[in-house]
Amino acid sequence: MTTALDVPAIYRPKHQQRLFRQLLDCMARPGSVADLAAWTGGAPAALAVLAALCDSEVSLADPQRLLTGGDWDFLECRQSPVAQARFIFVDGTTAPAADLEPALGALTTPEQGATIVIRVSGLGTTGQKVRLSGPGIAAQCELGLGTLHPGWLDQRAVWCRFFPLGVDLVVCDESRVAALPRTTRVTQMGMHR
Amino acid sequence: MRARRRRKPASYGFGFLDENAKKELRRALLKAVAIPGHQVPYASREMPIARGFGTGGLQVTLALLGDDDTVKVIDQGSDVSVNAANLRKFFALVCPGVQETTRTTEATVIQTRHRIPEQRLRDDQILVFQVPYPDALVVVEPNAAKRREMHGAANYARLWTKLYEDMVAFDEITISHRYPTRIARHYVIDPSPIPRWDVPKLHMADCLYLFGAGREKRIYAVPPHTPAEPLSFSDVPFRVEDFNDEHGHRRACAHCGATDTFLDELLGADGTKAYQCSDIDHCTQTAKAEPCERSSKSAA
Amino acid sequence: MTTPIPPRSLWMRAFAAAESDRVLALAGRLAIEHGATHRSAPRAGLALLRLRESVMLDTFYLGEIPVTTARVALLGRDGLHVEGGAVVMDDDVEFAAALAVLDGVLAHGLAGAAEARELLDEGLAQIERVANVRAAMLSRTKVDFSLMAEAGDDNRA
Repeated sequence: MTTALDVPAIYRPKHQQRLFRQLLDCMARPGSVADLAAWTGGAPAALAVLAALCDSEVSLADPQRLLTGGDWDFLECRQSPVAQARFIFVDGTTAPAADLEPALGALTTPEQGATIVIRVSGLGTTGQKVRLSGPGIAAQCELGLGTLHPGWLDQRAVWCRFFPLGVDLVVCDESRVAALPRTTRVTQMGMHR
Repeated sequence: MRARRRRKPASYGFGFLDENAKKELRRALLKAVAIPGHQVPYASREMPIARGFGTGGLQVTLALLGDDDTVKVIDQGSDVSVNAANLRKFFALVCPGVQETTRTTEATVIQTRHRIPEQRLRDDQILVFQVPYPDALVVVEPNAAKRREMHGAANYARLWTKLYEDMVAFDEITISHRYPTRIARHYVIDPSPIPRWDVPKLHMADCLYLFGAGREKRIYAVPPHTPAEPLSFSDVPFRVEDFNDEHGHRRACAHCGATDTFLDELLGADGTKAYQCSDIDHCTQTAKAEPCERSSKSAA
Repeated sequence: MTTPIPPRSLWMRAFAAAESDRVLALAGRLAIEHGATHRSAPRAGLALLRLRESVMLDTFYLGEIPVTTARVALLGRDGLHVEGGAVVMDDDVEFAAALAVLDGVLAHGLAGAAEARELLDEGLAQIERVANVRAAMLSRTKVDFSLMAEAGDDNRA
């Protein structure tokens, strides 16, 4: 048997199912943070999220060139400019580029608004603290967004101004993930120490 | 005549659907949750059951299930009807490792046709609805493109008019099931043919509700802790079904004696009516919990 | 080995026709020997089979067939990575990966290529045997219309 040929954990169907369920739970309950470490085999959570959702049917933009050629080979998705991409992968520690204009969908097709996967560190425990409310949240909750640059939250507010148009954010650190769907109301509260 | 021996017996991949199909469903599900009540289109696959027998719910469930899940299937509250039993058998066949159950409390994923379990679902449970007609606007607008525009703009004026006309003609809103329900104060959904009794359970729930329409190729969702308001007028509040008898007494289930559940009317051979819980698991558990000597012919 | 190696486009068919236990065993050994890794996720899925009909020459979809793809990297002799790939009408990911390993070894002449070549020739021979049997079966169904014409003459009497 070809035991030497192991597929990386995040590209195995069983692991992708587990990753998806964690992600679905995060999207249904904004503010909750899920630890994906059990299913990533050491891969960064952001890459695991992309692996669980992308295939040759979708377009992915990587404006900061964070992905390696090997990542692209496994993800199999089409590279695309930001404006047309279904998924956008960025590093969130610096402010969003001024020309970053993701797809927001249309009134009849809001699902075509992009999913932005943002890489930070220290998610949940440190950094920019926000108070969240909206669908999926019992009353309100708090979330630490780690090293996320506050400029992303300002931009998000602009992109999500006209519901149902907007973008959905998936914020990841090394192993954890949290989601901010377009319906979530975000109030910035200052910094964790 | 084959040169090489069969290496292993032919089997379905886990979850029957191929990985691309599952990923597409998963992407649609995430968008459906992110935009509560919006019908997200997806490429509905051919399933080994006919469209109209729950292929939409089936595909959603297959995209969810992993070998650590416990699945329950109900059809009008019953775990043992042909449709429910067959779907459960199918999951066991194509998802090795998945546990089957009829107990609501044990299930992680419940697929349902026409009911929401009586017992409040927990935050670690997902309810998947089989949806025949996903669009609440279909009664007032035949053109699908126009309906999508109306949904996007949350323009439900014509639906309101229809409800008002009902009031004028019949003195009450005549919708018994598939009651149009507004999600997170924007989209109005068709919550599938659940009775009015179940509609309030959509409001601020702990669990996640997912809706799959296979024939119409649409997926939508009601996330937990999300307002779900049945359309009604301030002077004509929404009402659930009334199970009082002619003397104004709440009828009880003939089996378990419960007076707080949705009841099915059963017609005896002699023409007498009896009432019994529609949610069989809940009924069984209630009967077990209170083993009383009720001779239980409470019906008229 | 004097016969020229058949074109690479025939290899998949040939390996798939060879005895599968030996294909898997050899590929397993060579995969370890050459440090094989996947270059992309092997994938089992369905593909639509498109054919051209013979009257109007329109294309149409005959149906779906299982297709599995695999792409592997092997460590070549000079320390550089070389690739092998496989696209097979099968639903077994492991088998496709095995064929990709053999493809890479044979294409780049790595150690073990001779054994892979043996399996390839065996597979080709097997394909030919099957083809011959089928040709024989087909020829038995052929009808000689000239004989029918003679028979028709009798009826006219």
